[in-house]
Amino acid sequence: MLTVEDLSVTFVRHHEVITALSHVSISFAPGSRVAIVGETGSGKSVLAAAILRLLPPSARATGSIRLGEEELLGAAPARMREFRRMVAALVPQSPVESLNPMMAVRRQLAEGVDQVGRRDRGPHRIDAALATIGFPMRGDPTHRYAYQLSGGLAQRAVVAGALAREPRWIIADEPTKGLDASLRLRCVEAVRRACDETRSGLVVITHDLDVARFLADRMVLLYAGDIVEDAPADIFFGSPAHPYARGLLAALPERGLRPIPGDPPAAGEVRRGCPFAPRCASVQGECRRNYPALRSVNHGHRVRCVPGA
Amino acid sequence: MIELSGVSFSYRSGIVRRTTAAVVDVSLRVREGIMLAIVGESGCGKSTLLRMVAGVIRPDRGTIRIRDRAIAPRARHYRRDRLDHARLVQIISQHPELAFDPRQTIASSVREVLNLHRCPDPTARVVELFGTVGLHQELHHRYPHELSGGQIQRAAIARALATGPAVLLLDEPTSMLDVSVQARIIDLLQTVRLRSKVTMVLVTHDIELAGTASDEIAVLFNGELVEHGTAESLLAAPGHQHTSALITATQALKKGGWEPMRRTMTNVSAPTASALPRG
Repeated sequence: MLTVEDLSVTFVRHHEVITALSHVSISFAPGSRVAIVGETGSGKSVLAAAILRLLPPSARATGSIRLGEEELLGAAPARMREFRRMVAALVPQSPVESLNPMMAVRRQLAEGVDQVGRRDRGPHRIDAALATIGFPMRGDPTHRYAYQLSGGLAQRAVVAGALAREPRWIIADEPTKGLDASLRLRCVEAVRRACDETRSGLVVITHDLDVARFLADRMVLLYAGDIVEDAPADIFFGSPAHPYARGLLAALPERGLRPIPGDPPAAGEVRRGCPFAPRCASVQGECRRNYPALRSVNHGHRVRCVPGA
Repeated sequence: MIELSGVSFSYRSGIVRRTTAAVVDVSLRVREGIMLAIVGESGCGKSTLLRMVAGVIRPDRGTIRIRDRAIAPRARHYRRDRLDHARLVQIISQHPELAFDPRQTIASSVREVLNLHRCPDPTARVVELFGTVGLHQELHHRYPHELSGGQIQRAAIARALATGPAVLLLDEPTSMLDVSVQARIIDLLQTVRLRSKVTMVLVTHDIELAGTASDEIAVLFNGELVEHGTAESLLAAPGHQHTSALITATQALKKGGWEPMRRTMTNVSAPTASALPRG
């Protein structure tokens, strides 16, 4: 079990403290598939970076991140490198840019496998991972360099690289950003097949609700650095409890493209009460005074909103 | 309104000037005041087509006429023609933050355009334009990096409207934005279109967005126009296999996968522009 408890992340910019995440608590069961969704600036990528301890030096994280009973927030850098290789493998946002331009793709994948001490089975693991995600092997494109691969191929190579290390969780940060409809589908299918076959857990960070629904069975919605709803996917898409979740669904093209009025709070802006209150269609007097707590509505369904909103 | 006849364009690259056909013999008519969506996969030539209408690149063959005026700029009156053309056509890109000078506030960027076009009262017009796109007064004197993706896109729309164009070209204006911000930008564009009767051409790879936001859809595949029709009829009964494939790819994501739809879909990737199959 990977447990995040009371995690806050702040950045200092121009002598100003900006809170990116405030008191986030969430746990990821082995083999579970969770989507972290929210708008740009809601803190979803910061959450992933905090779990992997890949935050920039200007960030300060407090709280607790535990793998089983082991505390990771203060763990030694060597232990964290091991954690990132063996336990939680990152599929980064821009695959072409995150591959080494000076090294053929296969060598990079092999390097990742070697580092986790699986050298003897390296080539076999890589071939198996590539086959799992349906990487086209005609002409073996893995002997090429990153710039010679198309966006879709590079994305699948990066997924295979994560998979070959047999991690317990795959953390995918916007795996479909910039891909068109058919490539997007191929990419998410690759990720899903990878998880099916290896029984790895998945944490997918995305602003694309279709991708989230395809990949995950649990949705965690962030707004202004806080979890506002945490629900099973069918409940989230069927009858979400938070007005922000309802607004996001109504903004989808197939549901009418209706915008949510107003803007999310700017970075560093402190508002009294619920940060969504100025944009909320069901706002009540209490919302402007007090910040609602994350309450449980049902088994596995939490929402940060006053009852009846 | 906009009339393309037999428009072709090839990119030339390398020492031997190898040519790659990006747009092949496209003929298309766009009626005044409508929103036309051009859809297709990455690399199908939709942005190249848009750049030709914008006058940024010149077609190798064919003509483009906007309001019965051919748009190829004449060398002798280049600057004057460019200004005339800017009053007719404006383009909004996928990355509006790159279209603004990082050293200027957004208000000053818009004022620059107004001065170039000799607007009598640029300061008042800037406030009016930002009011149209719903940018709050406190944001007017910010630098591009101080704005969010949706705000900078609204500033770009305000700047494009500064010349009072008849045609607005939108190159994936919402592909980098979140769903709620996307809905807001499309809503704004529709309001502008209805109020100012601006003809809009929206390039997107999201056929669902095209179906909801536009009146007509044109589908490009490997640089060729394979289908053109009203949004409802084209989505309800796609006439070309590639249109069906685009719709299927979007729906498959919602319906849980490619496999159940495999039978209705050709399981091949779109060929790259430099390696087209024969036939």
